[in-house]
Amino acid sequence: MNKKLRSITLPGTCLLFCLLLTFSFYGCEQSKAEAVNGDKKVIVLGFDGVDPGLLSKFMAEGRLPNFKRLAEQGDYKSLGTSIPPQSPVAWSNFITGMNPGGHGIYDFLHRDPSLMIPISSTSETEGSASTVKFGKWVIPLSSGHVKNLRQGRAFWNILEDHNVETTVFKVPANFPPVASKGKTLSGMGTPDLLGTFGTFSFYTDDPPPNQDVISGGIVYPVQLINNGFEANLVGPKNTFLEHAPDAVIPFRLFRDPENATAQIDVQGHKILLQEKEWSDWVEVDFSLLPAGLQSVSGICRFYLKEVRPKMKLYVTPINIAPANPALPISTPDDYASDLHKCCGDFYTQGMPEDTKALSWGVFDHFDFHSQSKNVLEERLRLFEHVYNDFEKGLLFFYFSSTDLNSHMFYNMIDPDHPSYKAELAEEFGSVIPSIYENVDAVVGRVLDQLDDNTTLLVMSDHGFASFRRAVNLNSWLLDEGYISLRRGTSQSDVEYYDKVDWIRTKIYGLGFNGVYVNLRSRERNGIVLPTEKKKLLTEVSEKLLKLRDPETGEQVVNRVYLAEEIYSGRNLAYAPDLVVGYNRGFRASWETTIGTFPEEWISDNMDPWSGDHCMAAELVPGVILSNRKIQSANPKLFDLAPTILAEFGIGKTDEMVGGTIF
Amino acid sequence: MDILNSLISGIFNIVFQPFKNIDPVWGMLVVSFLTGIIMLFIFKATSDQKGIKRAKNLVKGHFLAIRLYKDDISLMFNTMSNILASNFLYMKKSMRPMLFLLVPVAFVLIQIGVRYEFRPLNVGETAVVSLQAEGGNVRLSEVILDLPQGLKLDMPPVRIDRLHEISWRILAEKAGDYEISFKYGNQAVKKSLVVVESLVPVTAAIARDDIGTTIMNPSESSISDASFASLISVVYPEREFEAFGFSVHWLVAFFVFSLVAAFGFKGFLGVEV
Ligand SMILES: [Zn+2]
Repeated sequence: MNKKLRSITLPGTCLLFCLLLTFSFYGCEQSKAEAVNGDKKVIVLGFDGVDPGLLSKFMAEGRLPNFKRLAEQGDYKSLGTSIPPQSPVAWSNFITGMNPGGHGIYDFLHRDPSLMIPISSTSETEGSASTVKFGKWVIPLSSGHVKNLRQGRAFWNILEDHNVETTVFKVPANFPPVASKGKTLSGMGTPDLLGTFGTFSFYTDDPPPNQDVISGGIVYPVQLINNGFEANLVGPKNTFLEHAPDAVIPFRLFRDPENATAQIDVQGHKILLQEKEWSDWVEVDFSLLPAGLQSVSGICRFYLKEVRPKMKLYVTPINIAPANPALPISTPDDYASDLHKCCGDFYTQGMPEDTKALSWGVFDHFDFHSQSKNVLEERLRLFEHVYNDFEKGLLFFYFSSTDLNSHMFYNMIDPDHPSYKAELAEEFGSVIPSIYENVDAVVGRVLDQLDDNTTLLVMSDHGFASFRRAVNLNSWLLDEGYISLRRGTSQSDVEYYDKVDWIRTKIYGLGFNGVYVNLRSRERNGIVLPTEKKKLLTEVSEKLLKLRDPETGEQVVNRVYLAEEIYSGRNLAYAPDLVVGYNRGFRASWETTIGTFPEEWISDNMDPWSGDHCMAAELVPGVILSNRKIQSANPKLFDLAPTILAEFGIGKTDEMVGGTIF
Repeated sequence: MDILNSLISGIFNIVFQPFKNIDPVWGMLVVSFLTGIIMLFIFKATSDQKGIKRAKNLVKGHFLAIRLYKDDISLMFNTMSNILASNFLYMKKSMRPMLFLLVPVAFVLIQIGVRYEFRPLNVGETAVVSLQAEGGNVRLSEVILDLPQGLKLDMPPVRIDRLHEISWRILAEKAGDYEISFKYGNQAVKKSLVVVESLVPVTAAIARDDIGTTIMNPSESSISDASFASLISVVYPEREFEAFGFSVHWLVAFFVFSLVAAFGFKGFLGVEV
């Protein structure tokens, strides 16, 4: 409570106390069955995107003593990843022990064949259907809800059926977290308070020329008057109001007339920052109804990027506050607030590293690196707590830093990357190895205390490769005559497939690796007959495999997978017909994944997002290390769920496609 | 005001002395209990005990009537209006003691507040310290902050001309009960800054001529009238108060504890409330 509030409430409080004193008299777990396998422990450390090539290299250089120790004591192998090797798909394979045909997640993006637009593959939000109007207020009669679209049972639910205690920390593709008797915190896929995967705010008196096209953040131009400005933190839509305007919190910034310092006043908080400095987490409350009847809590951090000559203030996406989550992010519900009690505020947003800010030039590499260090430090702190808290059963703990830093700093270790710059590489070439060293310390922390009753699995969902050349698959399909645009439209005008002439289009790409036939009776304006489908797919596959990079002559596509050959299960509805397995160095362009058609079918990737893994699965395997010998010759991601179950003496389900690796 | 403040603060420092270095809930428990009991005495001494008893009996009687005549609507209405009337009588009878209770309860709450609303800094933490200058004539660039050993200036200050305000971020390097001083020309003002892990009063702000701030911050003298500074504040961390495993606001804990004490001892002391 701030001072002002205190002085207002005090007389009222005294009065209330006296009133209470004077009048108040007058009126008048379920029992735990013994878990199977007693005190057995399985610890799974999930390091997203750890690549066997890099891991072996750094191990050989002596940088990773603990990985080396684990490999020598137990085992170390490549881990076959999902097709396609994208995190939501790969982690769903891990969670369910199925392939995408079973769990139904095929890509970051799916398409709605009735609307022909890209949609999120992992979760969907539904607002409240019935509302009542009350003046300018709109009161919902039922609460809206978010739905986890992943099908198939999570392996920890099966453990819980057998009374095994579980802690699952930030596993991707688990938002909202599936019901669980254990402790779970949702990870990748968890939105910010705006309902997006992360929208930063950037307040500046020097707005960049690209401010209108920036995605993943909003630029707010400000005008400094007497060394200060006033602006708003923009929160969620206030659905209690007609037309649902944004809920906002005003704040003020003052900069010192000479020093490179500033003060930010927001909701009773007074924050002092120097240039290039981050604030701690700041807790903010967006009021939706008057008199505090309804508000939404969020947390954010301020980054004073530049004080002079220009003012540049970055604010992280407003994260769901763990102390008081506006959306379900944990099981039990209060697990998130328990974590907050011990460890303070933390990123709840699924992908906390702000790659968009770097990609759009709001961050430079220094800024991104400092933000990414915040994320890692916070995660290490949480790990320490969760690990100390863990007594028996299953512990899964996830680290995102290995993946997102590899995405953003790969050009620093690849001299052949088109955006490689020697002087930047000099400065940031050590980022990826040092992240590996950080997670090596985590492995060491666990190894040091490992007992005979514990199985340790250290794994990644996929590996990494350089992303040098961006393939505009849809532009190529257009060039080849498989896609037609409406007459009179220029290629550069198309967004989200909006000017595609579907009745003259046979096949199209959507998402990072998916290709779909415009099939009659499935797609809204489908024209290809089911009997013609196979021939068309074979024809396109052959052409794709023959594609050569006009600049280097390299083969662009390494493999093409036919859906019917790789997917099995009960959830085939969203399956693409073809999955394109790009060669190392090549990936679908950002534009093509959502139905935009750049002129060139292939171009240099100059985005700071310079490493990737959405390629042929065989070329970007992950890793698996364990303190036990791995018997399986080619262990795969979907083998891990059956493996963990088997460690507790529990058999796999019929739907699981893999088997134990030991 | 300063004299009264230091007198009351002195008494409460003695009361809280045994609880300084143990779980803060014990200090709260004992002080709330004592408050509850003392309030009973004051209530007894200042109220018309007979009148209160009569009013209560009247209400009881009317309630009985409701139960007896519950089938007779007109009688019911009649009785209900009687209940209302005797309720007013009861409230009137309680008004006088309530007024007597108001002031002491306020002082107790202020004293508890300075200990439970915020907590002192821990070593390694920073606090924002702000000085508001009196009027626009003070040149902020000439205000100098003097820190004793154990405290360190964490970054250059932010001076805000338009608010006549200057803020510093101070890092606590060592535990201690510090005095920081602010100099301007040949004037100086002092303010305490506490770095310790125990239950001691913290003064969030001192003011030159703001009676509200002075009442709310009784543990430190206000700024003298001729000073260049009108307000000095320290943003201390909020104290996370837990009572036996439940995190509750300290005010709630105070209410519960003192009411339990008051009603527990009500019969024992023969007080009608
Ligand atoms: Zn990735």
